[in-house]
Amino acid sequence: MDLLQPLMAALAPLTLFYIILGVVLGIVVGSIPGLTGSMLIALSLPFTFTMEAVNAISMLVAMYVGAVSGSLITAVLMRMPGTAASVMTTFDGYPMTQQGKAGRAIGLAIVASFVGGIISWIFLVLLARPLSIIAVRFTPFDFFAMIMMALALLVVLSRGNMLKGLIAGFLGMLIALPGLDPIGGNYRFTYGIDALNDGFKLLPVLVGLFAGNQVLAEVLRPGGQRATAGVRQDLKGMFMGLRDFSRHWIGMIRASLIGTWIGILPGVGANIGSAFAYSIAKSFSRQPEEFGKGAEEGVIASEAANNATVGGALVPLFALGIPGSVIDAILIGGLIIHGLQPGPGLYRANPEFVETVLASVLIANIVMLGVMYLATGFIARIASVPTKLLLPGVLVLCVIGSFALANSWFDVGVMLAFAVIGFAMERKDYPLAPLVIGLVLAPIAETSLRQATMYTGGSVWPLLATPVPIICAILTAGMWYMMFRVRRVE
Amino acid sequence: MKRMNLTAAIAVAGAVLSAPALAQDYPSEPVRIIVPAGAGGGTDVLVRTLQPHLEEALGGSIVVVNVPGSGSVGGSRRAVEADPDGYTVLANHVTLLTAMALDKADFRHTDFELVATAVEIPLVVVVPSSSPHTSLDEIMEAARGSDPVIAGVNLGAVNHFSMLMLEAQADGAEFRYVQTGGGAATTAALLGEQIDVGVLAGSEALPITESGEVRVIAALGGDRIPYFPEIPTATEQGYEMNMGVEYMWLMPGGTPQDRVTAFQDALGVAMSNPELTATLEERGMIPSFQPGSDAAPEVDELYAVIEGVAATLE
Repeated sequence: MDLLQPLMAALAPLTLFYIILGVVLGIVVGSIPGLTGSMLIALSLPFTFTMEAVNAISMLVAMYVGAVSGSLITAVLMRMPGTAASVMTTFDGYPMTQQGKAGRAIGLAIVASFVGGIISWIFLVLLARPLSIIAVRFTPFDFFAMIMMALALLVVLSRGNMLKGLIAGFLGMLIALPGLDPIGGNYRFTYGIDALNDGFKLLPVLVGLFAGNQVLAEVLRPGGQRATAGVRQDLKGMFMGLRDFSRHWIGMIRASLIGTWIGILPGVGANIGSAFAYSIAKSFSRQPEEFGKGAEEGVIASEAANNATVGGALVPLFALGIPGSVIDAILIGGLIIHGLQPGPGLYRANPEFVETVLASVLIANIVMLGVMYLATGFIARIASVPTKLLLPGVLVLCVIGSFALANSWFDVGVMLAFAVIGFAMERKDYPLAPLVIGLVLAPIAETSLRQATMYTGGSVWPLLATPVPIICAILTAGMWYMMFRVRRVE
Repeated sequence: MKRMNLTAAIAVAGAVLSAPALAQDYPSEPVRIIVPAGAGGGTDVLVRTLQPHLEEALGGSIVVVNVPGSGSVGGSRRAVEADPDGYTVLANHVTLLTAMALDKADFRHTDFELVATAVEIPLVVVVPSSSPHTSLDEIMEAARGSDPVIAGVNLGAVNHFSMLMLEAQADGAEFRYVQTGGGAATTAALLGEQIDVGVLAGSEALPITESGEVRVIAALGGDRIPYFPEIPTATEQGYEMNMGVEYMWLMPGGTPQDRVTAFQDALGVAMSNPELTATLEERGMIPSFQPGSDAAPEVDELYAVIEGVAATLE
């Protein structure tokens, strides 16, 4: 692949502007505990309607890179991960802060994030095109098997209660059912309501779940203000020396590879990647007892891996049209809104588009490095602004965004309903990620299985007797085994 | 008698006098063109390409409103229920007719004023380049055999109807229909040799034909396609067929005739702009224009055919 041309396209002034804007917004929103990258991207999506597809998707991807990175600041300084991606970073990052080494912790985390981003980007570039070329040969049975693998992994990898993850996933699949039947084109479960003819559209559901829900949660939070200890930290020692590199490069690369791999697996995102890499770093460490007390290796593993999942997750998105993470599920909505059909045909039908977006991912990582170095102190101060002050704005954006999709008030109602559902679920510790993945994957699973049986005239035999489904089954079993072991170690 | 005549005369005079005044008033506010599909899709791109030329010809501004979903029925419904004041226009095509024939729409195309038909996207029958078939007869012969010939279509859409119409004209031929979906997905299925035959828009088929990955075996419109000059039409191959995606420009029924005419004239002026026609041709579309009164019988005829095919699906 010729890299220069897409790179130049991504460096076009307007595109570059949107990438920088995306990274900065991503970092800021990612650093504010309670606001997440998913929320930012879901809310921004409607505002990209009028933008060119390349700029729109580049900006959204840049937000993704920024949000995963920005969350480390508050994780290290205040022990409050900006997003779930940096939960593992708090374990060693905050102890380092208590020991007066905040600058060093943040410096290591930034470099690890950058290395993770770059390594996964290399895999993204190397894998996306070949995979998309092979992918047109994948039969619907193959797709069905891959999606079943994603759903199976999602349940076992969702942290916390597995049963609740399963229930959330099924709920997501149920929500996907009303509307046009994807094969026959008949309406189902619409109960005669015209507005339900398109079912629950992805965007209002996501905006409700991730943004509306947050507004509700903050408004109803007992005891008013969140305690934000105004830690004024000395950020000296942020810049890594060569000696640090020689000491930590193995850990960085290992965590990046783990993160990339976890990212590629459909449906699982940054938080799982960093947890996995953290556990493995601990088991390889010569001083495992230091983990949790300020181990530099822990910070590096968590941050390299969570950024690496971004590039990894984009591989199945661009090659197969299968989301590699929750944010990817929102990006799928973005592609559709811009008239780009996600799936194995995307790369070949729009090579310039995909390659420019890939180049944008690289640029976003470089911009991220610069912004994080220059503005960490400043962002730390923004991040301690009480979230309540931002809520009215967020709510307005929720309503505008949902309405703008199809100029329909019904969608606004859907958004509000899902804000309540999301709030209730989180209150009861049901994870939202499986719901979103179930919602996005159910139609693809249904379509591929029903297509598959149309090809064979009803037989499902290829599902048991062709290579791709068998490989998927083996991979799933292997990941289950490993995950159960990791859980036991924890 | 005399009095009646006088009243009629006054009425006529009034109408004649007020008509130009009304026409001059129109448009005094932005005209909404409803695109019954998402932003960035084929219909959206077409309407937005036309927009500046239409605004110039109409002497007023135009707002494009995307109402995606329900296979275009949602947007069409929005248009048919709008006030018939000349400020709502729907751009839709044969999908409106197939939705009606399959009982997915609870209104008829006759509930609209047909302003005009303008711009056509030609359809072609495509096979993978590894396929042994080079003509419709050959593939129909294969479809008579015992091995299934898999046709990738969007069930209930125009590509499905086209295949059904061809199949019905070849005794004993039977395709195995598989839902591949829209153009992009059907293209991927052809490239992966998952399907034996599919129907694509000419513009979708052009790049993959030039790269040698697929072969076009028939054009489905009345005439050969300018950028596929060697490909014979289905009619030339002995099949009765005239199918293309021709855009219908519709206003809600009951819209004042002078406003219908004003928009129709603007569309006609826009379509005669060489700059616009060149852009459309570049994108694989065929510029055309027919006022509603001329086009209506053709649309009715096409609907009768589609209804007949739909009846066989029951």
